[in-house]
Amino acid sequence: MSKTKIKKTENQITTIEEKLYIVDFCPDIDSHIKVNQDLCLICKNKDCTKFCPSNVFAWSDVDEQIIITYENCLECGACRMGCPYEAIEYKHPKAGFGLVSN
Amino acid sequence: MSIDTEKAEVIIIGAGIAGLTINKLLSNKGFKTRVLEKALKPGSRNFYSGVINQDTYENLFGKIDLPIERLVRETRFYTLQSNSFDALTSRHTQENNFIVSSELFYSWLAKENKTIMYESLVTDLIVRDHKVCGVKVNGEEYYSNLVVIAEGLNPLLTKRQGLRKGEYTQDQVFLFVEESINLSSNSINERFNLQNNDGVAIRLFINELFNVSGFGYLYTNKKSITLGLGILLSDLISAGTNLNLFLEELKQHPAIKPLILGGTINSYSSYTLPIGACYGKPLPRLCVDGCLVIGGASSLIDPFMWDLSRNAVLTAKYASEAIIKAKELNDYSLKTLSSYEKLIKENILPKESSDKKELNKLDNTYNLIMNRK
Ligand SMILES: Cc1cc2nc3c(=O)[nH]c(=O)nc-3n(C[C@H](O)[C@H](O)[C@H](O)COP(=O)(O)OP(=O)(O)OC[C@H]3O[C@@H](n4cnc5c(N)ncnc54)[C@H](O)[C@@H]3O)c2cc1C
Repeated sequence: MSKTKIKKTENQITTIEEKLYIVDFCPDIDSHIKVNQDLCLICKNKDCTKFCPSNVFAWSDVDEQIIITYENCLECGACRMGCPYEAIEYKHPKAGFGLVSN
Repeated sequence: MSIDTEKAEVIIIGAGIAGLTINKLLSNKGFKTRVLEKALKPGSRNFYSGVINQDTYENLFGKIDLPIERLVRETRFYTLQSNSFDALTSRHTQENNFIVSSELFYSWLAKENKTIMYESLVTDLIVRDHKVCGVKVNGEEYYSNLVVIAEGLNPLLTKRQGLRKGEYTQDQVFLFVEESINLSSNSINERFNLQNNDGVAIRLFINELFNVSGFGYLYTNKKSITLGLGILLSDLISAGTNLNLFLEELKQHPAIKPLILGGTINSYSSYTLPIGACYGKPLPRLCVDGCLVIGGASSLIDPFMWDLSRNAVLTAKYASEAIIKAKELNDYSLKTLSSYEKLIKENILPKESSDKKELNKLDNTYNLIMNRK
């Protein structure tokens, strides 16, 4: 991909964080996504932290583990297939929780 | 007590296109059905709008009154290069393809339907003596003669029950992001050169631009534009870039930028779409004793079609035929139900003899989407 700089004018929504702001969520108190942190430790590329369309996964250097912001999950299911170690366990959020379709 | 304790003849998991369609077909034949939907409303809304072929539905339900956004007057194909694009337009005189909003369309399909229970997540099938005889929902058990799995494109149950072996592979699945962008209907009509209710559906070929397998789409709704972009998961992972950045770059492209200029985003969503059995990938088990799999979960959705709901509706139709037969024989075992799989093989999967021809016809779109380095 060419590295075009995306010009940002006022009021423009371009980043994932800005976009998530317009999505309606009703997060559960428990995460519907779990990872096997032992596998995350040996995983070099940590692809999940790059391809997830809502940045649910982030690597914490301090804790040496994946931090899961499941509250932002768009429920596409890609993480299950994208993890080379099959370390991600994905369930549907409990009935009435998760993404609210309006 | 309420309907909850009555035994339904058929339990349908998922109030999506396939589930709602088969529910309508079976209810019309006097079946006692119950649809279990995890969400608060019909249909998982991971997309804002899409193209529907009216004939797909009228063939089943007779004359219908679809809640449409716009008529597909033109289909356009844009092949994008780094600073330019080639465009090809087909103008249609036939008025049978429509852009519909998923919210309105799903509500329309679910209309007057009292058999749907919302906020009902099915977590397991109940299996006794190797026969499916019910489901577990929010900790409760529901029994039926037959269970129809219509759980859609993120099929966790079929995997869990061992009907599908393993996950889809990364080079078999597109990851999509989609936005809807509000604009006045006047701006839309001016920018796309449209009148009244006419609309445009555009397919975007992006593999020269991004050097990946994938495609984009743009639909004109009444007062908004839906813009989506999908990239093969394996290519996206190799690129090491987030799909949202590709989408933002697409929005800056000269083919797209002037069309969406000044619009405001009103939704952002994401979903996956596998290249399934229509392209030679293994079919999951569609029939077992007491249970059928239809719709997206069957992996029979053709990701390269305009009307993504077509095959979901067809699987519902063929499953309903098998179920009606099973009721007549009072036999919901695999023996009777397997006529469903036979109908699928005869009518949806590309036939082996004409396979080559079929593929040649498809080759054009397929080649334009798949990046063969
Ligand atoms: C206007 C419109 C636009 C569309 N645009 C697109 C598009 O751009 N891209 C695309 O991929 N598809 C699109 N589609 C949808 C596509 O047609 C369907 O996803 C596909 O045909 C599969 O249909 P389905 O009924 O199998 O699944 P879905 O329509 O996805 O429905 C499955 C339903 O099952 C429910 N469910 C799942 N698991 C459970 C469970 N365990 N318990 C209870 N409920 C459960 C879900 O919440 C969902 O409501 C569009 C459809 C419409 C009407």
